[in-house]
Amino acid sequence: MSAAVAVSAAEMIVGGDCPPLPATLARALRRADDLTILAITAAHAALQRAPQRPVAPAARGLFVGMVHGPIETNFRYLDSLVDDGEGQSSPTLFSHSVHNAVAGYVARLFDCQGPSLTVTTFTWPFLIALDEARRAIATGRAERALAIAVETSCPVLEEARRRTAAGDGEPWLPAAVAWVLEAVAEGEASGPILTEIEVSEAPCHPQALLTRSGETRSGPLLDATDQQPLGVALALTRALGRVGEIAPGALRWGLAAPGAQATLAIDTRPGRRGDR
Amino acid sequence: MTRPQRVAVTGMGCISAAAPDLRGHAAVLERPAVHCAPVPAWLFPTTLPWPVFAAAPDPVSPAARDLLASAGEDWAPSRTVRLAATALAEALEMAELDRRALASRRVGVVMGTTVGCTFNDEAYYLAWRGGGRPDLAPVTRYLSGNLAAAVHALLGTHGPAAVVTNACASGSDAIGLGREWIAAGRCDLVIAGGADELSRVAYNGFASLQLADAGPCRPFDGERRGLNLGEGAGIVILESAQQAGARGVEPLGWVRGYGAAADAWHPTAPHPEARGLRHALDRALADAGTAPVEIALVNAHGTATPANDLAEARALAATLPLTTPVVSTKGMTGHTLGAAGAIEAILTLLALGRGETCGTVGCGRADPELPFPPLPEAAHAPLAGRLGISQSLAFGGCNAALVLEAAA
Repeated sequence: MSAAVAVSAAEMIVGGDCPPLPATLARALRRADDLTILAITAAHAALQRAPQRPVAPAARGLFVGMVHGPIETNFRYLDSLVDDGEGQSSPTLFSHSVHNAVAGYVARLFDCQGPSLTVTTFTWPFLIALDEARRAIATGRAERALAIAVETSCPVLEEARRRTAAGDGEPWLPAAVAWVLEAVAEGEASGPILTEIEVSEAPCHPQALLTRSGETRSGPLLDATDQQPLGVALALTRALGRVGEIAPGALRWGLAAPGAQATLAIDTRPGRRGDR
Repeated sequence: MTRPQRVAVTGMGCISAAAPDLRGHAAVLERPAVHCAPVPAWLFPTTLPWPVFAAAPDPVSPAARDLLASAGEDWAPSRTVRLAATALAEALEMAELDRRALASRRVGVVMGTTVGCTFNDEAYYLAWRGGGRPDLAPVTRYLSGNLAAAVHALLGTHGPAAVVTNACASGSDAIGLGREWIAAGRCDLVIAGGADELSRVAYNGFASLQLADAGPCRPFDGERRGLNLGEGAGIVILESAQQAGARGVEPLGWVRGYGAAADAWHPTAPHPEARGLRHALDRALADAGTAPVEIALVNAHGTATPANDLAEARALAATLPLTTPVVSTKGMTGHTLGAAGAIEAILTLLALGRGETCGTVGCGRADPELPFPPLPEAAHAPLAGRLGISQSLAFGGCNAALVLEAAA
């Protein structure tokens, strides 16, 4: 990799705390499911906060990470299949039950014609999406990239979790996170520079993936709450929003969970530029 | 970081309705066969008439059975994982790798799927919806079914892992991502590909979208009516050419370039001018450092839906010389969704290695409205080089193209 990559904006939406969207976006989301609306809302907020500069549509990348993705829409499609019968099921629900339906909406509404990737893991798919977004910019495949993580609540899995040994955690909240990544131009970076992302997975027991038990986080400003699918993405976004509270420098966050380890490092010193 | 000159393919494994292994797929390219039939009763019940391309009831090869056994007897893997295990075992054997050899290496796993990452257990869901407390085994199966994690579990390895869920382009994107990981020096080797099983949910979904043909599909034919779903898995072992040389393994080919781009257009229909696919093709060719005239074969997505085939032909007409042989292999495999891009990349390498391609099974008379002439079923074509393209389009407007090179 050559070019440095900065985080120029990061926003998150949690639970029902969903600000209204402009009418043009709201109209385009008439048929969209909750997962898509959450993602669009977070992406819109992040792009509004990012520096307003022209980026060609073909240079706008899109990277989405999901744990369970459109699982609720999939169950609604199953409702349609069972209740309406074969040959009568809803094509709209089916097309929204595909994991990259969210990416399709985001690409269309924000005219992202660059690389588009949706990834799924049960641990930290946001970190995978973030890393791929960073690599796309660093290797010149995009100038700007959205990295998004989004999940809805899922009563089916919530009930299953409650029946497991460690199942008394907080309910999963619908949430979305969107970070805007930029190639660092000749001038100063428009936000902290992403200097390292490493994610490694190994086998683990499925129950740990359901309860999110045994997940630990270390590093400055990183809280330990949110033991839920999007917990790490939310914690990192909150931490990023607070980096101004401490002296500029290199920050390193560590994550561990049954079957996975990750590191994310940023540099908040002003005046950084050039290759890394 | 010095970018390796080439990312080598040192192993390939493949299973579909066309054949249970790589050798069978090579034979099918010489003597095409069509195993398209109504949904077998052992797969799932349906009253709908659309035929499918189903693999064998038990798709697990003996070598894959050993792999699955090594992961523990209490694991009841999904059909998607079992299909993947068969392709994986074959690819590892061809690459002269086993669990012991992998233990000392940084192994990345990137797999594409659609059905394989979905909690589609109707019995569990209906029991839950009715207020019951169904046995949690289906939940456990879902949580142990993430393909990338499952491959790490089968091999006892650890490292980067991702499941690409770019719908029908997932398999191509997974191989492209694997190429990036090797080129960046992130892994010593990457296991990349895709797998998907036939499911009642996806079957009904495509029927609801009116995208299925009542007979065997006819890619690029003037009378094409839609697709047939299929199932299968394709897996390649990727490593740097330097490492392959150091291991004394002859590459089967190379992944020379990868390009991906979004249509930013419609949830399910391709951009009418194939805007995204054109971008993806341009990027893949640039990534490979290859001129369009050097491409000897295109294995198109070729689903046989009217919109897909027309959009693809327009993109190809804008990108490549009209004399380039273009085929679709879905008339032999069906549309295997998240596995399609990987299976088709492997078929592309096999055809390039033979120096000849069969025509497009199901294409009796090419649609005269297409601006790029595909190779019809009756034709065979010698190939003028060892470079080819395998490309995929998908719901969500995702497009991916791979530039592949067969070993001399």
